[in-house]
Amino acid sequence: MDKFIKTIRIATRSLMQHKLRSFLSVLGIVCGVMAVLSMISIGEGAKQEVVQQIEQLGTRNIYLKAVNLTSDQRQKARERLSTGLTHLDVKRILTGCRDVHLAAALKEITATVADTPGEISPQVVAASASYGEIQNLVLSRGRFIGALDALQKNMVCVLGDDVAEGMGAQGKPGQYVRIENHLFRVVGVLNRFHRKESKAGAIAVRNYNEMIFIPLGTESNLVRPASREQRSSDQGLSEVVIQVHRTDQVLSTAKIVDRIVQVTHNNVKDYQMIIPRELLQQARKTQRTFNIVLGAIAGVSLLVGGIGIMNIMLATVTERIREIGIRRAVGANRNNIITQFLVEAVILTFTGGLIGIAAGIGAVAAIATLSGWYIAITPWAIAAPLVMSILAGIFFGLYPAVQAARMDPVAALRHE
Amino acid sequence: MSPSLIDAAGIGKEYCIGSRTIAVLNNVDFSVKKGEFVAVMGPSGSGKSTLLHILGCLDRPSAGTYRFDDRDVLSASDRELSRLRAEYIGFVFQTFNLVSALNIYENVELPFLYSSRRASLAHKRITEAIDQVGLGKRMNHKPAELSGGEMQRVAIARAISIEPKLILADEPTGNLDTGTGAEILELFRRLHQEGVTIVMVTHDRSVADSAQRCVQLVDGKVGSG
Ligand SMILES: Nc1ncnc2c1ncn2[C@@H]1O[C@H](COP(=O)(O)OP(=O)(O)OP(=O)(O)O)[C@@H](O)[C@H]1O
Ligand SMILES: [Mg+2]
Repeated sequence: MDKFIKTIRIATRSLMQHKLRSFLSVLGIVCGVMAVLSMISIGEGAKQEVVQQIEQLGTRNIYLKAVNLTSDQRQKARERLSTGLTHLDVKRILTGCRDVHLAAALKEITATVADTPGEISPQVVAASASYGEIQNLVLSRGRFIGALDALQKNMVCVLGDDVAEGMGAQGKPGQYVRIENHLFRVVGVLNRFHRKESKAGAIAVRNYNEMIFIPLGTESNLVRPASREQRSSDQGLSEVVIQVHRTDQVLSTAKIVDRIVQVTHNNVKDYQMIIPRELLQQARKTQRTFNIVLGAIAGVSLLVGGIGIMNIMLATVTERIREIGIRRAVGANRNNIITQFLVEAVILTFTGGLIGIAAGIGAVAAIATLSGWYIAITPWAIAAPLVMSILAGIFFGLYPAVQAARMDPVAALRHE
Repeated sequence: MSPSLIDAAGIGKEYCIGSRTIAVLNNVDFSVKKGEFVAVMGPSGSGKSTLLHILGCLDRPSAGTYRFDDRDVLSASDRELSRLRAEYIGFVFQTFNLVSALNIYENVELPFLYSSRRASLAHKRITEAIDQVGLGKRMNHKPAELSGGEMQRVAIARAISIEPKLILADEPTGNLDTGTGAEILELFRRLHQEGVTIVMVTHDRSVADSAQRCVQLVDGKVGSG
């Protein structure tokens, strides 16, 4: 052990003889390690972002979303007597599927809200009472819409955090909010909701902070005299959320739900089914492939760096033939010589690895702030390129080291 | 009668250059008793260095038998030969052969990297050897900062630090002026008095006179000395 430390010290001494040369030869490794680290981190960040987004949709949930039909499709749907997503669907799903824990319906309303500050235009949605429970909506004050509210068509509402804040003193339980020409009593205000920003439309998480919930059914009071077109699209529900007891029941339940809805809609595909759990698995899989490809591409640059090390080690060996002869004369065997040059190569690549890690973390931080991407540096992203740099040192240092050890000691001593 | 340390008989060494083989050593018998100081003389190209390398277990002869300290050298592996060199044999060369990247201490330390001696003992021996050649105050100097005589003294310190059974010196004064050469020879004489076995190649008749015995090598054969 003590001898090994001495070997490392002496190897470092030799490398420091040519500081600039050693530094330049290491640059390739530095770039390679930097590339591997940033690629893994960017890939991992993207994966975590997608996964978190999907997880916010709830892995125990199944979503049915109304599809915007073209006028042709709408005509066809009418012929087949499909009226889009309705309460009937919800009822049939609740009775037809064994594993369903809760089901909730949501309807987006086009309505203007009075007394809101300019920046936010709150979205009014009519929701069933269980919607809050399915989406884990937490209230900062008051209560969520209850089952009775829907039955009795109570003119009450629950405000999102931004909406409540925007309304100031009026955005508190007990106060009234005017939607279209009706007054709704505020019964609750939602806690601030931390939404994961999403780019993919299909899996967008709703921004509850800018929403006003009213009981499902009360929205019929609000309907303005409008075109038939608008009325017919207002008829159906926008979204039905189904929650099962356990995540492993999601896929089987989804199949049954799909069949039930298909039957009630007379085979008209006027809805879209979204299963977050399924999306999650797909996302994980694609991200893994993506990461492997990125890592491999970055690995190539590490390979190029390794070739640079091999080059410099070959030069070092030819330059130090005399030294090899001296070491052999004072008692070094072939393995000692191999070890010596391997240690030098690994010191080079490992130092390059450390510099690369530091530079990589810096680069990743810069990319994150400049692009606004979410980037995650996992222990893996550091360990993998570091181990790779050590392996590169051994792999690319081996040939020059063996060349050195093979030399005839006497010929080496005679070398000029 | 003291037992012999070196016992070589019928040593031959050939080099192949293309299709030609040249015999550098031809049926050389050479033995050295423990504690002896032997000089080897002969014209340039007569094979003195080649013989020294073979005796020092750094090279293998093409023919003959060689026993070093009662071990059969010819059947030993590279590992075993290296071990012999690290523990028992000290080389001193005409061109000093120090590693320029390392300082005096580290140069003298080199053999200990390859022997099984304990680190604490090694440190003691290294400093002692450097003191013995009078460079105790300059341990951290690099070879480039030394004169020829000083470099040769470092080489001698490296050779004696391991307390070798045999010191092989190949024209140790060849690159030095007469004065410095005399100092170096004085060092060898002292080592001999302390009981170290020495084989020294030299061109200088007066140097050879200070040895106990002189062997003449001519055209790869032992002549009469
Ligand atoms: N690797 C080799 N290949 C071919 N010939 C060699 C080789 N090494 C040495 N020789 C030859 O062997 C002969 C003896 O060389 P050696 O170095 O032993 O001579 P020497 O007596 O030490 O001479 P000097 O006094 O000049 O040092 C020389 O003629 C040399 O050319
Ligand atoms: Mg010679």
